Amino acid sequence: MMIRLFATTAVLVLAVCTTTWAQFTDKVLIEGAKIIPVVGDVIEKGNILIENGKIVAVGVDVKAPFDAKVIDASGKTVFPGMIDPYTSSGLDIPNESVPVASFVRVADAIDPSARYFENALRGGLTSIHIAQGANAVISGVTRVVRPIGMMVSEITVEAEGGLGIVFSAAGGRDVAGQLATLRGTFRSFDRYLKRLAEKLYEEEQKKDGGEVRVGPKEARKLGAKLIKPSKIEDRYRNLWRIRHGELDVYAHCSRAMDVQTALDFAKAQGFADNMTIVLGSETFKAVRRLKKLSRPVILSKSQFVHREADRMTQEPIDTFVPDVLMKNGIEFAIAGSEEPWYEAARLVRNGIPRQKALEAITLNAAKAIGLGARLGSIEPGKDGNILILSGDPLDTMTWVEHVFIEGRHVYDNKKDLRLRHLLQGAFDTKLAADKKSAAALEAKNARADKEAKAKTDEKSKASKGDKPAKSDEKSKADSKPSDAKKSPAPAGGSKN
Amino acid sequence: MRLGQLAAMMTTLVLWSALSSLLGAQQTLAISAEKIYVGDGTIIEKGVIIVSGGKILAIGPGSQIEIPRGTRRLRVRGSVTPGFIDAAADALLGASKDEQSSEVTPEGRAIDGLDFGSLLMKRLAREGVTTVYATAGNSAVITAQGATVKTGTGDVQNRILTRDGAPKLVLISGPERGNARPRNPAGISDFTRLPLGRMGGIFVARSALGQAKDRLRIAKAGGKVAKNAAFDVLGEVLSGKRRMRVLARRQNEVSTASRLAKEFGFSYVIEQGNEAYKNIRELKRDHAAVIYGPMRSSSPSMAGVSRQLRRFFTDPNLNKILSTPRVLIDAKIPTALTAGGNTGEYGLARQAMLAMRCGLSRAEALAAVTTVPAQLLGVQDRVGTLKVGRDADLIVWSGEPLDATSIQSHVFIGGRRVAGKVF
Repeated sequence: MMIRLFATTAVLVLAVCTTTWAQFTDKVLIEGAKIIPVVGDVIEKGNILIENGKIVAVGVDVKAPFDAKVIDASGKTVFPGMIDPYTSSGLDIPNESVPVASFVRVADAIDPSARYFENALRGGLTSIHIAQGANAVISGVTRVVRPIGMMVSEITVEAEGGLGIVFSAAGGRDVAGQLATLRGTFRSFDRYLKRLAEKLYEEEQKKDGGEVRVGPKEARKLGAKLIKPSKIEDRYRNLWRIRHGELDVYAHCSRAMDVQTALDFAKAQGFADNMTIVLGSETFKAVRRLKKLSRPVILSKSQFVHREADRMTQEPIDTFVPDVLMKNGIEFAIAGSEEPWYEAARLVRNGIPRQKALEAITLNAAKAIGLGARLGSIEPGKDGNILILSGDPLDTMTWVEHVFIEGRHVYDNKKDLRLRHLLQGAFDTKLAADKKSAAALEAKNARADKEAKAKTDEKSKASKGDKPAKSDEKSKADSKPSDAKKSPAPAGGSKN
Repeated sequence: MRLGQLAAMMTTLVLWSALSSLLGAQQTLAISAEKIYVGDGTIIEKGVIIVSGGKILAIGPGSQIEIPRGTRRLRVRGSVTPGFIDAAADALLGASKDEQSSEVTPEGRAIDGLDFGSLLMKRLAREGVTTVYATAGNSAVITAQGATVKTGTGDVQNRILTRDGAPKLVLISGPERGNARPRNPAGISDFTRLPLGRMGGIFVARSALGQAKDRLRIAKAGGKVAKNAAFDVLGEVLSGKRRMRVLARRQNEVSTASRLAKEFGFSYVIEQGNEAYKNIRELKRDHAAVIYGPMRSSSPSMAGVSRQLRRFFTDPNLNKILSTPRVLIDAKIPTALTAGGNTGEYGLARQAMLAMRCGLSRAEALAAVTTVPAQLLGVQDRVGTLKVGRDADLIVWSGEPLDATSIQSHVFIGGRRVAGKVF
């Protein structure tokens, strides 16, 4: 792969970021690649123009502006940056010790220098939705990050995703205990709101030296309008925000019986429209209930296969969950993998159409976290999160060669020292093979060049020797094709 | 509506009976596929395999093989490979894999602890792992003899290939684990066994091997030695009748194996060998082989690995690389892959796929799970390659074998189709 760099590129390997995120203003053109945009048809030999971190044009005839950095990706496959819609990786400890932790933010526990982010980048993940684990009743505020940078502020894509609510048995509680805690929390939240409304109304009245002339019931009613998130104490603020659509809800349902509970609860509390369901493998049995959802469901890679035994014969009964979801028209996204391409390949080999499998690791993952308009495909207007792959995304032998996040070149596998160490022997053999083929190509070009030159020499000699009296026009005509033949070889060679 | 359902049920029944007669019975069956990977490196394009009586009757290009009239046929779009062989499947013995009544138990036999009807046997068969070498765990210094058996279901006697495999010399920290620290505060250990450290373990091994050697010498000089199950087995190892298994991960453990082999004059096969890429010279000199694995992920992270394993794999003293099979094969050391008898995402097909992703060619990766382990187990005349007269153990893939998007769509063991689906 030959890269022509018109500007100095900060190549960031092993998650070492030396420049601040806001610094770039580059225009980048990735040219000549097979583009799999996820939305729309595959483009053979297409170009992608990224400006200020956003994709501005995709197509065969997109030209580079004079000040653009041009990346030659001919022979490579270009794919949108993959997305993990729900993971606890990158956190120091996935779960809080208190069951209701709606006041915590995962942002405080993310370690941007964790090895996880380095691997994620290597595996082609460009956006990661980090949430706390499911060992809680209500878990903290999630965050969407990109796996490059040294500070949490720097890696943040979306600061506040949502809260996790667990509707299944967790943390040593059974389902009844879990739901009792959940309902109890919301009930005390409601009581708190009433008191707060009354208090706010009284304050409002007394501010202007007035008196409270209404009863407490009326005061609560009137005061309700005065409630703002900033007036609510920490442990309830985010509950108010999920009710008002400011934060999303990620509902963990590990068993089929939890789904209806979650839907009813969401409806009663008014967050049904901004809820995404995180499924367990058994949840496929409640597939009818899942049909009404507006967002794709999230399925962890460990929950693909539901295994149970026949109650009579003890014969194993295995169910491939994504298949059931697909047959019922439920959109899904795959979570929890550092190599999402492999999970997509698993889907394909179990009968899921390729397009659906690709969507599950890109566009649907973006939709599941409410960022469908910004991430997940190669379309004008979306973030410039692009992968240059050595081959088809679902091929066993394909490696991520380059990663662009918001137009910035952040990963180059030739400079990935850890990968080179881990693949010692194999990587060098591959590099040597690449070098050999490059050398062979160069030698071929040189040979062709030489032959062409020899031919012209011969011809010009012949024309000089045999017919010296021939007119000038003829020799000019001779020289033309030789020039034409000469020019491509050096141009190809100097591209490096 | 009801009539329709009834009709559908009837059709299913008829189809089912047809299918079971096609696949279940020991009839002649012709399988034609786009590609047949024979196992010795050759690939037959548009090939046909004729299976009869559990054996391969004929194999070759479709144009050259005449299919007898009335033969049941299975035409597939994908490819066919030999059934896979896991040469170090310790998961099969389950809880009984760790015999701890003594540190030296070469007289124990894996075959006696094997549950032939287990769910794991069925799962392995479904995934195309048709032959396994059941081996003991790592809690004794010299453990039981392994056994090579067929997976799947059915008659036990027909499924045993060899029952007198090699005993295993354990050089990892398994035998001394738990011995050093008393379990209760009173200072009385549950374990009253000898080795408390690596040196102790090797000392136990050395004294057992030494005794076996002495007995051989006495017998050779015409002296009389009483029969002893343990020492007789070790004697067979020392006289070259059996090849010692050595469980070693680190460089120093492989070196120890090499040293002991030289001292006592036995030949050996390394199991696991995470750091074996550092011991190339020793392994070559000893003409040793390596059964490498299991690898956990092609990503250098430990995602999806249990905490216990994570601790092991993040051991700072264990310097693991992903391309070990490549390095070993480049050094012409016979290398097989193992998944430790695990299935699914930790199964043998995934291991071969990872090895392929980390440097092996498809042919090399296939050989490492078919022909090479067959030779190491001494069962190459029955399994590992698709040749006339060999057992009809084969996998039909939906595409190219070991592609991430291909699945084992049918598996045959001894010509019988394995029931059930793979995910």
